[in-house]
Amino acid sequence: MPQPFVLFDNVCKYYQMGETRIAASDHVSFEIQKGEFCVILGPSGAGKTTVLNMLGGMDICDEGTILLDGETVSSFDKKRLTTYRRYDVGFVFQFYNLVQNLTARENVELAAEICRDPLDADTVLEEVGLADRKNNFPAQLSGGEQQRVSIARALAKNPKILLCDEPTGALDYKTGKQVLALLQATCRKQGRTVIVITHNSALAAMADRVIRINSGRVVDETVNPNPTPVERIEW
Amino acid sequence: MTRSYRKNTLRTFKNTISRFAAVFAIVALGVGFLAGLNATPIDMKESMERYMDDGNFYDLRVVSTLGLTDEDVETLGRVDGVRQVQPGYSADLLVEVNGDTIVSRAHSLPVPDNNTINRLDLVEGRLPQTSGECVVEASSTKRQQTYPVDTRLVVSKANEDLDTKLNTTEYTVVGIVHNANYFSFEREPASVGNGTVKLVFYIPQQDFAYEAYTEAYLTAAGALEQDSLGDVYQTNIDTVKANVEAIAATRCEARYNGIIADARAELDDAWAEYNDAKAEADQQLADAAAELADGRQQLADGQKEVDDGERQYLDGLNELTANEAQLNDGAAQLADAETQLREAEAQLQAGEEELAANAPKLEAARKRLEEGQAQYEAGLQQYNDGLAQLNAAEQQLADAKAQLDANADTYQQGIDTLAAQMGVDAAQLDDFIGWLAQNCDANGTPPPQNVEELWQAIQDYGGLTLPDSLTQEQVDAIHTQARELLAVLDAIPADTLPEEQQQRLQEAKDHITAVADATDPAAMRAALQAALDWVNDSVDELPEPIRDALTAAIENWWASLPDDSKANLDKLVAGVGQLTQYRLGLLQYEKGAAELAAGRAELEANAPKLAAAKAQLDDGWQQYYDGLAQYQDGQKQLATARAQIEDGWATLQDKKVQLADARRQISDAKGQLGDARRQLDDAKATIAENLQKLRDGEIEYEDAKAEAEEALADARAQIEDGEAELNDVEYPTWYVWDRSKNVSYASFTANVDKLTAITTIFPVFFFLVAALVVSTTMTRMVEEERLQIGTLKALGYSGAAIMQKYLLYAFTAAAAGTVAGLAVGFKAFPSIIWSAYEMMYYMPAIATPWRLSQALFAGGTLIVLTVGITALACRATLQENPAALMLPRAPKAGKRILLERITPLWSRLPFSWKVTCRNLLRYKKRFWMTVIGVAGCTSLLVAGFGISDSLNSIITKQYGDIYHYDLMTIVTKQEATESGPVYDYLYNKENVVDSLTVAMESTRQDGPEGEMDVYLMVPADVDKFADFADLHERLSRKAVPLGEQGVVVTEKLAKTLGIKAGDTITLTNSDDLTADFTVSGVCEHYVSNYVYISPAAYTAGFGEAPSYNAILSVLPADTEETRNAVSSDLLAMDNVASLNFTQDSVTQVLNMLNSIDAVVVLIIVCAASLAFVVLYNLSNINIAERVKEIATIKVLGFYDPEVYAYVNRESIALTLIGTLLGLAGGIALHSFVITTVEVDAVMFGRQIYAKSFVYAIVLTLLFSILVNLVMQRLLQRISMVESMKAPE
Repeated sequence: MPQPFVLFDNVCKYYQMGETRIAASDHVSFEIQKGEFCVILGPSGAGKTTVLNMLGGMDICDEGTILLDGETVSSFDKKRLTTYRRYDVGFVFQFYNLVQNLTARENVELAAEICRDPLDADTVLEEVGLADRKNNFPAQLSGGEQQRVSIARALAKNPKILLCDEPTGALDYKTGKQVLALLQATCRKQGRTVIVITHNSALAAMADRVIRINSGRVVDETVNPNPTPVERIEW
Repeated sequence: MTRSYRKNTLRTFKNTISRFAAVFAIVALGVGFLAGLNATPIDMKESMERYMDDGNFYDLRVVSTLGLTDEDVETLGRVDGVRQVQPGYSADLLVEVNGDTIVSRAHSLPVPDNNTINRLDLVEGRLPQTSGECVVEASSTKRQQTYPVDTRLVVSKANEDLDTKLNTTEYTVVGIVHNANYFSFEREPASVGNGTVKLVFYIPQQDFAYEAYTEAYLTAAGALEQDSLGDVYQTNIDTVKANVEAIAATRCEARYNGIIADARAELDDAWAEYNDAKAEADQQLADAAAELADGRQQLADGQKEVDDGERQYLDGLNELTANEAQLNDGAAQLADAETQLREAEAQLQAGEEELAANAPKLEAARKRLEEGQAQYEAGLQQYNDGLAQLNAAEQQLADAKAQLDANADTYQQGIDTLAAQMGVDAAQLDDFIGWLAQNCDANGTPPPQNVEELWQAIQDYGGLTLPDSLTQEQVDAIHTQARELLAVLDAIPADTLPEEQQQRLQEAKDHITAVADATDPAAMRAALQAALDWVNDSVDELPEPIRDALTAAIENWWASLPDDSKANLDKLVAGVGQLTQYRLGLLQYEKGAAELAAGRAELEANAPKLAAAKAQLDDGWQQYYDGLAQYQDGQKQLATARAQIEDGWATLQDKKVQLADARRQISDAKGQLGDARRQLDDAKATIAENLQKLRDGEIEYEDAKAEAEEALADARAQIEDGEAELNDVEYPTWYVWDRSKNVSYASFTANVDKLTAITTIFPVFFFLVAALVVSTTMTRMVEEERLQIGTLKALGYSGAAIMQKYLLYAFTAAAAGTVAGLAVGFKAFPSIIWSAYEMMYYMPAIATPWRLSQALFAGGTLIVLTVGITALACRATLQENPAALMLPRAPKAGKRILLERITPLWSRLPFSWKVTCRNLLRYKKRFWMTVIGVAGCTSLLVAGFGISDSLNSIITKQYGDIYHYDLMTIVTKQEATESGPVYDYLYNKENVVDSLTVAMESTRQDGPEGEMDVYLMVPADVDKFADFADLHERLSRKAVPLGEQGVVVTEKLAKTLGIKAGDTITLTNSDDLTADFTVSGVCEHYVSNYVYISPAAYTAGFGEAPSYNAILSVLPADTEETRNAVSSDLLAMDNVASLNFTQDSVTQVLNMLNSIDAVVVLIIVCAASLAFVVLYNLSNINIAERVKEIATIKVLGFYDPEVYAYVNRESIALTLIGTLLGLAGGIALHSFVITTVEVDAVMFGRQIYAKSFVYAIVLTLLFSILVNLVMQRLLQRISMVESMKAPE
């Protein structure tokens, strides 16, 4: 068994709410192999985002160990975490979070500029199918296009993992499917590790690995040897 | 409002406390500033109003050119609308105080029962009770000089017509008062002296000598209750004024008629008086003329007498002088004689001494002569004896000679006989005999007595060959034998013999040898003889054989010798003797003859010597006798001389006595003459005196006559003038003035108007910024809560209910800010500003009440604005349907900006700057807001510092660049600038570096806004003037030299009059002459209005020369010490009216600046607060609006500094733009404020110093950086989780 690419080992995260302490993550343990398309599945408030925040270096865990490509993310300080986000993590937001004042291409460049080994913005935009829209401002793009810019922005950083927080949450069915297909294709073609957080269980079918979380705990972790292409999934 | 909604509302307050604070602060600032500044001039005006009301300040002042009579006053009191009338006197006077001459104004104190108007406010001491007491007006500010109680005021004699003005001229200060009439530092122009009234004092009415009141003060009914700055008051006063002016005509006529009647009566009296005086004068003049004629006669007599005396005196004097000369000659002669006598005596003495020295010499000579005589006589005796002896000897000789001669024949016969006998030649024998006689004589020996002797003599003589018997053969035989013997002898071995024998042997040998060698018979004989002698004596010692042989040989030989020669000789001896005797006698005779000849020669040689000695001796004797004779003569002469000298002494003594007598006589004569002189002089003096008296009398007479005539003519002329005057007595005019003619009042109201201008522009600016910021903030708030509004609306809350919260929020913040702003503004601003004005005006502390209208205007406007904008924003939001509200608002689209089209520039911009540029232009509202806010702040700072610079320029430029003199000495009359102590002092280089005389005239010139104070300065030396004042244009710095014909106007005056170089200016000088001048230049000048005129231009223009009354001086060191020294020196001198030290003016301006600085600090502090609040608020909004964007870039991995830079870059850019605009705005604002605030007499500096710009920029940037630092903390706190949230 090779060393897992991503490892959560008994990770706990607590929030103090008045008298009581709520465990947003309660001894969460899982592992993800390099190049896998992983879906973390759970209902709202299950603690998916907490896991994502911790894995993305936006939050720190209270207990346990988080490893990524051999590095102990859980022991990073604030500065190191920023560096980690800067070079190792690509983030795709539910609401795209594009800088409105910058064109699609500039939004990609914004991220690429701070990286060590960025991909060419034009190439990435071409890959996500926006070669002809790259000079448009976000306001001039549709939701799906905006999300693709967002993905391009994440990919341009050439990250070790791609974290996607409900990437289809703000999109219609069709567009959502296109975006998912893009993510899957990225994973398959480039061998990039993609982690998608969603409450849509239908998406489990397309993942190499599905981690189900409920009430801050990992309730199930399945490896899917034959993932279904997204085009064939209906929900 | 429901409970939960109320809760929600309260929570909103709590959560957005910083926004609440921002709104509160900006409102407070805006309102405080606006209301406070607006209230300030009102506070000041009201305070003045109260001050004037308290003092019952007049409403109208009536002044008549011919004065006001009691009747006038009474009539005035009856005029409709007039409440009170208070008549009074006043006069402008020169007053001497502590050595200074002060331009002063004296007012009469109101009579006690009419002390209502312009009430005096006693500050110190008491009011005057008797004549000669006064109270002085306290200085209008604390810094001005006043005169303490007990100061003596002396009204200067220099005042014209003083007796018609005052009864008393010396006053003691008994109290100090304030009067609303004079509450400003600016003073009324004075009608005497130079400049303005410096001192106001109040004296009892009885001390005035005027026949009519000079003025009357009026109050109008109802005016006291009215606001004197209001229209109602003005209408009221205008009405009353019109009423008063209405009676003026009647009153003037009455006054005129009264004066005419009085004058007529006076004139008639004057005519009568004139005629009387004329008659009297004529009589007196005639008497005087007669008296003068008498005097003249008396004087002529006296003079004649004196002339005679004078002539006599002169004769006597001449005589005396001659005598005295003689006397002096005699004395001189006497002295000479005495000297001569003394010299003669000395000579005599020397002669006597010499003579005495010669006596022994004479004696010695005599002795020597006598000795010589004796010697001579002895010599003579000897000579005579010698001669006698000689003669005897000659006799004897002659006898001997005779005997000899007698014997000579005998002798010859003897010779012949003898020669024959001897067989020798007679001549030879004679010669031999002569030789022999000579020999005998020489040797003293007798002639040979025997044969031997004769033989010997013959042998010695040698020349006498006697015939010998020995033949040659015999000789040769002997020789042979001798040789044989010698050979025998040689054969003897000599060395065998004893030594003695050897010698004898040798002797023998020698003798034998001699024999052997003898050649002739004579020699043989001689050798044999010798050998025979030797044998007889010595041969015994030889050994016998030898001896015998020898003896035998020799005796043999000897024996062989024939002996006949000698035998012959025997016969001869006697003959030779005899003959020799004869020859001897001859010889002796010859000898004696020679001796005698020698003796005679010797003796004869002595004869001349003797003769010479005799001659010498005779000479000596002659000399001696001569010398003796001389000596005796000398003695005789000396005796004669001594007798003469003694005679001379006696004569001298006599002469001396005579001289002394003569001297005494002359001295007596002198005394007499002196007496005569004195008498004469006395007489002359008397005459001169009398003459002078006479002349005086004549002059007096002429003068008196002229005077009388002139006086009469004058009187006549006066009377005629009076007649003429009476005809053109000017019809009186009444001047009815309201308060605006009062200098203090006008100055104060003008300043308040100026203040109003500033206090309007500054806060309005401020207020606008505040309004802008508040509205942005509130709009933003409504925007932020869009979702909530939508939710509430969806929940069914009414629009009004929803709006309530925001309106409440806005109102609460604005109202609280307003209250706080007003609380501070109404108190702080007026107080601070008043502190700046306080030094110029005397007034009780100003009241700073809350002012409703200002409060409403400032606070109300801002509250309404805040609430209104909030309402508008809410309404706009509420108009959308809830669904739309629930949806995130479409984000403001990004846009390309103009800059992107400039591809070369844009492509070179760093990416982060591209974002910044887009963002800047994306939020235009925020852009302008920030820029305006920052620009406003910078403008205020620039203006604030600039005002300070402008005021400071007055000092540095006026007193540094322009005025170079340190002291202006004002003198009381022109003569003092030409000579006298003041001139000597100021033109002495030991006291001051340099001085320049100028004429200073303080004048009032017509200007567009009424009269202005303008100084005319005329430097006596135009060229030198440049050393005292540097006249140049302000902007070009080009010199504006005064030049010979120059008229240079100061900048402010030129601007006020709207003139420039080349234009014409009309000037009135202090003698009320008016003339037009061509302006030759306009110079930079800050304090007071001046026209600098060259003397030539002045004279040409006004037709009279300037009267110099001031001296400008440059002090060696402008220190307190020097000033005090110079000041005490100068003030001790007469004619010094006042000293104006430049440094004092500097100090005065500095004091003013200190107060203005308070205002500047106020502006700066306000500007700083404004800048901070604006920047803070806008940055806050900026961040709040972009939280999600910032969170996203954080997620993307931007480090903290990168995040700050991403945001702050914008605010820095905005600040820079704002600052730049602000500099321009500041310059404009400064220029506006400066020109508004300026008073007539002062020009403020127009320039803002570079350092002020730097300060303004640095301060603005400092606030900006401060705000950014605060913002960084805010940025740090933004959570990345925000990025997960749905867009708003």
